[in-house]
Amino acid sequence: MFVELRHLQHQYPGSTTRLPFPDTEIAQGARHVLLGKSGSGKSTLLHILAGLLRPTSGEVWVDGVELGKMSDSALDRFRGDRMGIVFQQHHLIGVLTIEQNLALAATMVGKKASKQRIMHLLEALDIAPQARKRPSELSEGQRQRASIARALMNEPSILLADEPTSALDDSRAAQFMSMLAEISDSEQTTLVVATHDARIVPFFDHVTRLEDPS
Amino acid sequence: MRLLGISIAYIRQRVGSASLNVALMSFGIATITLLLLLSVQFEEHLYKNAEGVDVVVGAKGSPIQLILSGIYHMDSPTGNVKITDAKQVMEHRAVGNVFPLALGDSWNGVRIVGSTSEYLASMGGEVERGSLWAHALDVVIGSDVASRWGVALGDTLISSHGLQEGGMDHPEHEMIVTGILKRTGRVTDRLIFTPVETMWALHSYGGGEEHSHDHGEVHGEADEHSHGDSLGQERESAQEVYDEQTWLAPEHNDKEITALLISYSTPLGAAQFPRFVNSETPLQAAAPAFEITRLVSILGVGLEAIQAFGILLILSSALSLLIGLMNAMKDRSYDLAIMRAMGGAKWKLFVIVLIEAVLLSTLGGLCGLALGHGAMHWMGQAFAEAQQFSFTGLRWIAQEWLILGGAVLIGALAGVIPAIRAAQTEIYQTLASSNS
Repeated sequence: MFVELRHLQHQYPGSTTRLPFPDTEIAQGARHVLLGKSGSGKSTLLHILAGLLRPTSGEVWVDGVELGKMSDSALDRFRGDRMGIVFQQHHLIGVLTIEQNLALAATMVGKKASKQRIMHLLEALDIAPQARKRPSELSEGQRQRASIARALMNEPSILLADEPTSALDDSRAAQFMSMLAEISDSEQTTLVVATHDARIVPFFDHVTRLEDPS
Repeated sequence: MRLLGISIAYIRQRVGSASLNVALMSFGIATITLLLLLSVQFEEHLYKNAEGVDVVVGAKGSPIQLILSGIYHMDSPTGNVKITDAKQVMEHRAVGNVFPLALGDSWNGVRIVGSTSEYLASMGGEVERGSLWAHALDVVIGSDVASRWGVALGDTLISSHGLQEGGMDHPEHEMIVTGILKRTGRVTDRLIFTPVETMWALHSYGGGEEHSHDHGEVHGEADEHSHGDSLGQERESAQEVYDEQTWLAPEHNDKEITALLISYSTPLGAAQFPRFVNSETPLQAAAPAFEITRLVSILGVGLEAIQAFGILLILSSALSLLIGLMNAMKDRSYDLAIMRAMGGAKWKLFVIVLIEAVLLSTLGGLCGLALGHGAMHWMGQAFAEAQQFSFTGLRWIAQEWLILGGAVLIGALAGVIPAIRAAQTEIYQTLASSNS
């Protein structure tokens, strides 16, 4: 399996609640959704999967590597090379243009940003004309697509998205998911989305349901 | 996209605060640079002009005053020296070369120095146009005097009594410009030179009625001429007495000069000669090397105070840079968290912030150097007439690399704390707080 979650639990410092997560396996190239209500720990699980948060116990394996055994710097490199993350807020760097935001993803992992790759992604996501604009000059939808392009910049083997449709109406949510599924397929990327939005479940091959720990 | 590009983008975002950092650093560096240029050039002038002179002998008084008037022509002389006393001093075995100085008159505020051609040669004075004096009342002028006053060869000058403008003129004694000196960068550029005999001629006139003189102005009690003497007769008479060594002739024993510039014949002279002069004669001996050191240390107190102000400005700029970057880190916390989430190593975030600090301090340093040089050049031009020394801003001094390096280092130090803070950005907590 490409991703394996084993006996995972997480407890935040100062919290009395321990979040248990079901053992999960995700095949390479699959589309997988982590579905749960607010507070169920789906975003926490996604962050653990991304190596942004170390679990209290359990193991996370990605492409044969156990994240918990990696040093911080090795984990940084692994995340930058192999993972793309689309956050709930787009979090584009405001002082940089869209193409610079994409180039930044390459710079952060020590790669030379390919202009060709940048334009390919921006064209695929239909925001090429906005390449030289700053995030503040784009619509919310364009910014969201730009954040997907940035996440795909380093050709990650897994694309993680946290509540990407939470602020969208039905039609826009469907439209967005179609685009995300399409681009993850074309990039041959495993797609894992954490969401409470049951509307988008039909776009996925597998669902992991997370229960409210209380 | 390089780390440098990211740092520049962030500087452009906070251009107001960054400009303040740069301006503060510039003013501090400019102050230090200006002081460096001023003090280095001032010291150079002091030592360069005193080259070849081991000791100055003159009337008793302030040793610094004797040095300032005898070597730099900046102050009033301490008094007069009788030729007989001068001869007594010159007989000492430690005495090597001796140059007499006869001061006391000026032309348009430019000092007239009565001496010998050997003195002029020792000061690097080389005639560029015309020739050296052939008679008393012939003068050669420094290059600055020629350019500033438009004086040409063959022009006549009327000297005034005293060293400042506004003194009583000596219209009966026209001096003729026979030569213009090459530029030396020394005090010679701003002086008028003539034989010692000229000074005696200027002051010998009076029909038996002696002029009233301040201390330090040469007296010509012999060779007095009546008021009715024509200028031709005056020049003829002066020509008769002129010769390179005639100032030592016995018939001039009752005359006076202002000072003697002496170089020792032996290094032991420094130990013996001043004591001899100060104890055995009515004169005093002052060593330029010692007095210059004393003068520089006296002036150094004032310079250090200004330097401290400059350093304070630089430290203020460092503090302002630190505060500005700390605030910026607060504003950029999400950006930094995203960079870390994208795989950016901690050291990269550290470097981005450090580059920003170094760029600002380097820019401040460069602007400060330019400002310091500009100010020095302006001062050199604006106060050129009031100074005996020439100062320029168009000169690079090796220590300026240290100033620039210091500015960069201070900027880097100011950037370290914000850079550490950037590197320690907690990804999950920061991003989670943005989602809540």
